[in-house]
Amino acid sequence: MTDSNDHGDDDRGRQARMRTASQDEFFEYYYPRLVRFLTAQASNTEWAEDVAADAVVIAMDNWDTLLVIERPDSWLFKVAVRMLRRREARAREQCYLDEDLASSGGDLLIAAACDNWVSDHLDLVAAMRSLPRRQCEVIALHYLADYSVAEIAEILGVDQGTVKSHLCRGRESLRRALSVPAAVSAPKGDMS
Amino acid sequence: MNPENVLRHARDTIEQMPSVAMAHRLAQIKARRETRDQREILRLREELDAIELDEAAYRAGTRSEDEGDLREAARWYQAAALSDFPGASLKLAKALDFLASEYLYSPGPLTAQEAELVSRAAHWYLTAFAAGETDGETEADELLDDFLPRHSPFRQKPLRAAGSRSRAPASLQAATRAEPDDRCPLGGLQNMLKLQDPERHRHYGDCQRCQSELHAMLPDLVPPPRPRVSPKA
Repeated sequence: MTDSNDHGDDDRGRQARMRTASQDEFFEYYYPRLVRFLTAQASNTEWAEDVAADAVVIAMDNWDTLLVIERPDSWLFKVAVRMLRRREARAREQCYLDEDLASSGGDLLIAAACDNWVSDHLDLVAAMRSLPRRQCEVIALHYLADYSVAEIAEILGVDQGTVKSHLCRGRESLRRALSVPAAVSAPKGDMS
Repeated sequence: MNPENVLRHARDTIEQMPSVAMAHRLAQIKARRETRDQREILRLREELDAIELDEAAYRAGTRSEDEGDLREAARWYQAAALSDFPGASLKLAKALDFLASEYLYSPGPLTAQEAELVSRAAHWYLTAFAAGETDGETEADELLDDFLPRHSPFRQKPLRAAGSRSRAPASLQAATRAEPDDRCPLGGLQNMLKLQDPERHRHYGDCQRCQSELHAMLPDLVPPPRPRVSPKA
């Protein structure tokens, strides 16, 4: 599959810069994308929401910087994904990160109960959470957040070849994971 | 099932959130920002600084590696790897692997310092593998084969000469020479690592044989297998 969204980079960049003219419009546009982007790859849904909120506050604190950079939205996603991974790395080192299937299944039920989007895409979110972290990040950035390979390389601080490699492996891992139904099912919930 | 179709459908609906819910969430965030204390302000400032430092550490590691100073590179990479900076774990593992390989042709038994280098390289290879930064089959399998680095993309030396296997600590040799055990349906840790998550994780949680092997390899990092509790009669 070829990555065909490179031609839209300029348009998306322009749109992102236009939205920063209004802080409210910027966050109203990117917040739901950000929180669901994080939920799809976090081990803990509560942490995903906390990190999304922290990233928004940090962006507000640095609004003057965002006004002049090329892609303020990619800055927001970069800060958010790094904060999430740092938090999980600390928890893993101190042995309180529950990455086992039971914990993630229970956590997924909670996420689905709180958010219709998760409930509607439960199999996908479960499958993405089962991916190795690098593959999940690249898949989420490319397909859910709609970033190109070049933009993802910039966000993650890796080269484009690495992004393509993770993308290829991630698709294959996801295909295998989606062929196994999710072990949980949840009633639809309201995002409130 | 085509995952790309599933992903596109998810992307097409990702921005849909009831406007009341959105307004409520953003209002909560703004209110929290306006009423936060100095400690909270500093916490977030430190988060941002830490993110920048992780990237700076990784770049410093790359620079040191380009200059040929692998010890310095390993120090910087470790700082980044501890925060799960992308690529840092694998870079660190390879740097430690190469540093350990310098001792491969030294006379005498493995010293504690050499064993620690090998142990750390193995740990970071497995960490990189778990994070999806490598297929794992090349690096981790070779380490599992003999627990001494005998191949590195940085190294120009040929594979280790026959007979040098005796340099590995006896416990590690025993772990890697363990006969297939019918208690592990996969045949041991080496085959378990070829699985993908969540199957790999599930198997490791249930398999004492694989837990024992990994504990033998990394006794300081991996706890011994939990004893099985027999069901009451």
